Amino acid sequence: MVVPAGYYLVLAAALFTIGVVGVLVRRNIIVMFMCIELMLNSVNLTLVTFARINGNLEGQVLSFFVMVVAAAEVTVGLALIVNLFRLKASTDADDVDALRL
Amino acid sequence: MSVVVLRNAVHGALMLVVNFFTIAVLYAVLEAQFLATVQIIVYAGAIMVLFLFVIMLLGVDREDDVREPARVRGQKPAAVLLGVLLFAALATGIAAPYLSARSACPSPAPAAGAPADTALPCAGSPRRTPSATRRASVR
Repeated sequence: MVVPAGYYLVLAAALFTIGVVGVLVRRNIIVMFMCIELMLNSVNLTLVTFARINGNLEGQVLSFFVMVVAAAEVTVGLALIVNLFRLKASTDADDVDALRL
Repeated sequence: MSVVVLRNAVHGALMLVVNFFTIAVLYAVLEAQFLATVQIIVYAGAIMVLFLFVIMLLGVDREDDVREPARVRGQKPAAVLLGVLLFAALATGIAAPYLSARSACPSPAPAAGAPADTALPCAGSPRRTPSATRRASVR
């Protein structure tokens, strides 16, 4: 049983869409951050699928770089969230308006 | 989906773990075993531990409901509508040229009798036709 490659791409598109809608809809910063991780994962899945289609390894290498950058980004982002919580005592994205005029 | 709609952030994080494992299985199916292993170790291990640590540190009793109205009027229906439009655009633009019977690993059915190149079975022919159809669909 072989699955057509388009199904992987449709699944990745659906995951990316869910991530975008989650970032737009939710107001909790942590949930928004998890949706960003979801989008990064869908892009990784697309890269691996195209690497499989083209029969080379460039997409997998790029996907590995994306994973490394995502891991570093998660640590920085969660540190920012913890500091925001210490400052504002909430994880609501609408409470972070210190730069608003 | 549950990552978005569940009101408790811990439940959303656990659904994200399930999602990571599923994507790792898909990597293994796509013959990217190293990436599958790295996905499980890095995402389902390290990143989710960080997420759950921060969620527990900041308190799990603060829940925001998706169903409560947004502060900007009409934000959530607009977001869902834009999401549907984005999915349609992505599916037709990226995935539709590959949605035919062609698979990620082409089965040896069209060249059953011929000695197939067993070393890298996906290197040859599936490169031309989807890009050709994609170019044709773009124009």
